[in-house]
Amino acid sequence: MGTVELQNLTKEFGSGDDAIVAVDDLSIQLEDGEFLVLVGPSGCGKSTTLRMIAGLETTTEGDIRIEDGLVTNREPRDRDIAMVFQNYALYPHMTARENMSFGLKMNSDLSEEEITERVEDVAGIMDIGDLLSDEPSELSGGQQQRVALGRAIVRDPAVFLMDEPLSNLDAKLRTTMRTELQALQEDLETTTIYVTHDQTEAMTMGDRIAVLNEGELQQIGTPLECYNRPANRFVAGFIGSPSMNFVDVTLEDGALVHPEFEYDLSESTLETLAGHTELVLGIRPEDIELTDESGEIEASAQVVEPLGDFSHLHASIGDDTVTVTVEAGTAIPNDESLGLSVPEERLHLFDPETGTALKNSDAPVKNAHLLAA
Amino acid sequence: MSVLPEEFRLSSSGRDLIADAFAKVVLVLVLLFALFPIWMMIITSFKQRSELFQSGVTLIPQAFHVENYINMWNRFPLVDYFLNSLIISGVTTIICLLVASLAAYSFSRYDFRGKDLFGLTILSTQMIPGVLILIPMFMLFTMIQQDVGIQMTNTYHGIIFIYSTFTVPFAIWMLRGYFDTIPTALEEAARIDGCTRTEALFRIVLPLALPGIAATGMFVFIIAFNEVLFASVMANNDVTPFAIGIQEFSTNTQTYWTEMMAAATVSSLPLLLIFVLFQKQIVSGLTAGSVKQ
Repeated sequence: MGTVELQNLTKEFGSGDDAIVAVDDLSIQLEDGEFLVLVGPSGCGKSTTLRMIAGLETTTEGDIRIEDGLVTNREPRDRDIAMVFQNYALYPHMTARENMSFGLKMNSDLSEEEITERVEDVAGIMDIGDLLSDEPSELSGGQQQRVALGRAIVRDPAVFLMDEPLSNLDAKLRTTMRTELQALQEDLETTTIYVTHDQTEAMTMGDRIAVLNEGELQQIGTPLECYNRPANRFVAGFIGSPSMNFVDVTLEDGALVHPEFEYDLSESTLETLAGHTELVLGIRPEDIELTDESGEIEASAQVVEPLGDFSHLHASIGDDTVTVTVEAGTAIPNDESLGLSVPEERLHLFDPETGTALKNSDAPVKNAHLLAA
Repeated sequence: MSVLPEEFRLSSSGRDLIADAFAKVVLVLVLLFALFPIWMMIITSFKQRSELFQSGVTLIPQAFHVENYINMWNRFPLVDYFLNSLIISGVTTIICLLVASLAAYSFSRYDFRGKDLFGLTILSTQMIPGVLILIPMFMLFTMIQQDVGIQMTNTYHGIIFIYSTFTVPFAIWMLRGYFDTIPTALEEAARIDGCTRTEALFRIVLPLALPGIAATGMFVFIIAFNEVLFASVMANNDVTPFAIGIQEFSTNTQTYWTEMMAAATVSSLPLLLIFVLFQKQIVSGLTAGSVKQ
């Protein structure tokens, strides 16, 4: 059973007053076979967390359990894990075959023949059978990536740890490998913790994603939960591309008031907002619709970015700029007046001081493919 | 704007050609300058004494007089001197690489209290001229001999100890730069793959650092092989190295120049051999860190 439990995990670098808290009181539980993505901006503590699970960093406080065994103070080799590094970390003086068999030679009682058999099986899965006698310097980036993954898979560990494994690949290969990696993980059913700063990878790959910022866990949930029910303004802004639009508003007489518009709210929404006057309004670009000039919000068009299947329209509402997802081929001249309309159900409202979400969109949070299944 | 008409202007390939030729001429001049003493050493070793003292310098000997290479062995125990040099330089190199590679590794990978100070202290030892520590070192040796009863002057271990004192810091600095170029992720991968820290060092890091270690080892060997100052004071009698022994060709009555040059030529052979054998490692060791891995 490849369960992983992080309990009040804390990591401080340095000591005394100069100490920097990299990870702050982090608790996460992973089911066997789960694919968890740790996502956040640079310096949010996601890599440090992964390295603590691997045993490459000591913990300042808290416990790590793998398969119900306490591993906090165990050496990396005694944790039954395999890790894929950002720069692959293939041993340059060994062939692909030696790279893949190294872990089995060091850490298992398998015979030479059994090791060869396992390496060749995995090489078959990874489609690198022909490259086994090559040294890493003879391989392309994508091939090195496959060998690095193969090296992890061949160990058959309880947990895979992946530290931004796709970030060194070019955009096209990254997309292919993303799908492949996901399929592979589903086949192998090995618990995986995957670190990335790329919210697209987080959204598409993980069973659940854990969003970190400044060492603290902001939210953990399915990708759609984090997208449609963000716990706070940080998650709302970080997940989603282009990011959510934020506009400062005040609540007056049952309506959201902005210098350029007023937006009436329903009774039920007003109840949840009781006691708040200053608010941050959040709207996803795809939740905004273009209407004629008599729409709820008046705006003026700035730039249209065509992306092929759809376009992004940047429009200004007074001093604020918002992004709107519009149909492909939409042509709007600069400074043209627009009407924008947003259904109330899709509005997000945040407390401007704490950032906590007060109201979220009602968009569904169940994955379409799960519903079909 | 050039005033020259189009057809008289140099094409870019023509400019490259001239720049290339100029660079080559400069390189050849530098090479001649560097090789001239060596050429003189070799041709002098084939000259007869009478030819050497003729007026004017000849760049090519009139006749190859190989007797110098035979006579030189009979005049002094050159073989012993030569073996002494090899023993002293070889053991110094081994000890130096063992100590320095571990020290350089810890410098490169660990943070410890006083690391910067220790690093600077090591570097500063390289700035003290040998002649300044010659007398203190001699006094230290005399004290050890008197108080502890261990013979230090004119012994292998004595001179090897002295050489280690200034080659180890040098080697630590050189190897540290080399270890810095080896990504830590490789060791981490090895530790996850089942190695202890020590196993990761010996199975992954040291094999990768081999070019750097070879280059460093060669420099240490050359320093020890060519050292004259300490050897002239503290390595006499049975442990006299070649660099000191060769001076015996210069006697009170006359200097046997031709035989001395023959001996010098022979003594360059081991170093030449090391260069040829380890050329690839030395070059890659020297350029380590200059390119992105």
